[in-house]
Amino acid sequence: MKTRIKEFRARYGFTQDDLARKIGVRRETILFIENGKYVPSLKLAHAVAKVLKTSMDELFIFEKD
Amino acid sequence: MDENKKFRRYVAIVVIVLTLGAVFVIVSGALGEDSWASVMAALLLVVMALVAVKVARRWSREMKSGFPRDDERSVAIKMRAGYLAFFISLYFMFGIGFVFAILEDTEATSVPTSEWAMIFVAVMGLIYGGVNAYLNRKGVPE
Repeated sequence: MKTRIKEFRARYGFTQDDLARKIGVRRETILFIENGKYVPSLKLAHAVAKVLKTSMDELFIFEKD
Repeated sequence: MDENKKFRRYVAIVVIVLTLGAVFVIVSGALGEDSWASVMAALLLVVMALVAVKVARRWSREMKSGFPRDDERSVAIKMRAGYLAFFISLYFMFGIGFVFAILEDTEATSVPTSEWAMIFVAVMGLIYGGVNAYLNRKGVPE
């Protein structure tokens, strides 16, 4: 899984800390999601998309093996 | 329950457990129980105290940082680590038990149940800690 969280964060000038605080998760969780090392739940993915004012489709890219 | 209250409750439980453990070690030592068991219990107690202090310091630091102590990723890691620790230690105990069963047949030594339980707890704790640290660095597999 790839994400465009970093790109959207930069667009709104959010740091990982800012985004984590807005969503109510740990900073490491944002780091791991950004690096594709953790696949968030639908609820968390929706929260991230909402804060970054985009859709989940835009934010998360699932690739077939 | 707010985080400060949870933290105070954690400290109280740790103090009670460590005090009871220390009493057990002192009494078993004074009664001249099997010295290996007393040393093992004392060692476990020291490890528990060190882990408790580490957890308390980390908890306190996290409370100051303002981030939640647990979120869905950290809970997922704990669940995975607990699951692996439980099953790996079961296999470990089964394997060791099998070895001791053979040794008993050959009239070699056997391990008493109390020490057996302590070994089980220690192995499970070590595996849990190891898997937790590994998953925290490498990420949770899908």
